[in-house]
Amino acid sequence: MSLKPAYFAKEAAINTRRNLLMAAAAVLAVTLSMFFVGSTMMVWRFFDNVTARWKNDVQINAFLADDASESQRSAAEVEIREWNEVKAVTFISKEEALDEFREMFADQEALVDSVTADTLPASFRISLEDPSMLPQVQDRLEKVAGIDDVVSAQEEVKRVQRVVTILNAFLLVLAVILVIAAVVLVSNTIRLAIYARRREIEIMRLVGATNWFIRWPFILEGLFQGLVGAGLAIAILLVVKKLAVQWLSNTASFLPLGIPGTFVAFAAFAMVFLSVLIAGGGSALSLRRYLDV
Amino acid sequence: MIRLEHVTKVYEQNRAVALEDVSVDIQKGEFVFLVGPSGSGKSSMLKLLTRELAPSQGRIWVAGKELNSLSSWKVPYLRRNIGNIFQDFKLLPNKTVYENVAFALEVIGRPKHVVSQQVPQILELVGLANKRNNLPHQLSGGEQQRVSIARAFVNRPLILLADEPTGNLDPQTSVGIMRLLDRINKTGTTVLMATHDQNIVNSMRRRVIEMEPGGRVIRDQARGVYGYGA
Repeated sequence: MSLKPAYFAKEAAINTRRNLLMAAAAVLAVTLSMFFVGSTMMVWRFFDNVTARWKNDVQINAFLADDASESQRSAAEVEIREWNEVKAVTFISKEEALDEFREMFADQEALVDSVTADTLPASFRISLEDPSMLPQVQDRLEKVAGIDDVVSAQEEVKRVQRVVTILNAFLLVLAVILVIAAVVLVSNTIRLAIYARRREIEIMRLVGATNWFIRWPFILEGLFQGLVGAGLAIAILLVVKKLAVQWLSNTASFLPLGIPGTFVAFAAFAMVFLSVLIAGGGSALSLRRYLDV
Repeated sequence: MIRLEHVTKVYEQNRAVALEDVSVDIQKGEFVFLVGPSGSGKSSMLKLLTRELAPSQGRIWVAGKELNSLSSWKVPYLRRNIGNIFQDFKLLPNKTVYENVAFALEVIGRPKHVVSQQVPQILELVGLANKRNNLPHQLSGGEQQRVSIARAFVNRPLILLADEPTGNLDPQTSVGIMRLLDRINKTGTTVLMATHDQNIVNSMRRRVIEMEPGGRVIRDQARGVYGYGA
């Protein structure tokens, strides 16, 4: 039998117009769910950028107590240099710390102005021969006289990653709930469309229209809702991403904000693919239950 | 053309027996009345022939196809060989006479030029050429039934199944409808008609298959009369 794409498209359009409100709700649900899927991907990629810089950095910052004497400082430096695990030790004075700080937050004058050399601690920057020795070295450092606090980038990375994981899990749960809602809503509009056309369907079956001939308009209708939803979600996501990058580059210019275009394209493709699955699933659900052909 | 062999149909939900051990053989071109009180399985038998229902036991052949083993995707092609007429016409209220008939051809993928050639022809045959642009609610009951006959016959099916086609019509209109069915039968189309209309059966004297409650065939008579309850 000849397929008639124009006929199916026309029927699908009539169905959609008949139930504009329900169709709009279904599209909105697809849009929202896809927006959250997309945001999750972007957020994940962004923090991956941020933490990648630190991941292989096995530097330890050992901050000196403000009341540590000069002799305590040099004794500590000599001792640490002798450890086998340690590759290099650099002393960062209060003044050097301030210079670094000024450089790092160059754009944020208010912040720079509020800080003086006194408020920043002097520190040893220690790099290791073997990254896996980090916990042991950290423990030993904490016992050295004059050292107040020991911080490694690894810990910071882990802390950030923990936050990101929680944030992403939250976004993902939201996305899953919205995906389910989208499937239900698409399925419901299809069900209504089937109901509105039950007489036509009865006649079609009677005179021997094939099952696929009867199904196609409804599948197209669902697909259309899915694609419109995905398109809207991608547009909104791009706008939000642009605004977020603008905002972050003003307030947190030290963050690497570039997300590669290929990743954005990949995310967009994933969103379209998922929304087609949602629409297909929703349509199939109703076709199976209510279109007994 | 139609053949039932020891067919039993039991509805699964309520265990009701619709047909019990029915064997019937209808040749091509026959005109057969199916009579019997309500609940004697007439409608069930018609539904078995279009594979809307499947038999619980026994075998059915329609238009050369054995229905028990017919795969479900082939059912639409079976139905293209069978026209259906109902007591309530089943016309689409928002489509004109022409569109209602054309719909039957369009949805089985007939090309436009075939549709625009065959629909006027069949409307001429049923005597509704001048009402092609009317909506069903603008027609009398008899005219509506003619539209539904046009729709059932426009694809020139081998078999016409009619489920009480005159049930909603007055006697005079019914005669007109029966003349039309008779004409269609004379073109070689096999007609099987379930009916309660005593006058029609008695005046036409065609083969009569009588059923009784419980779904048994109790009479199969050539050139028969309505018989029961008379």
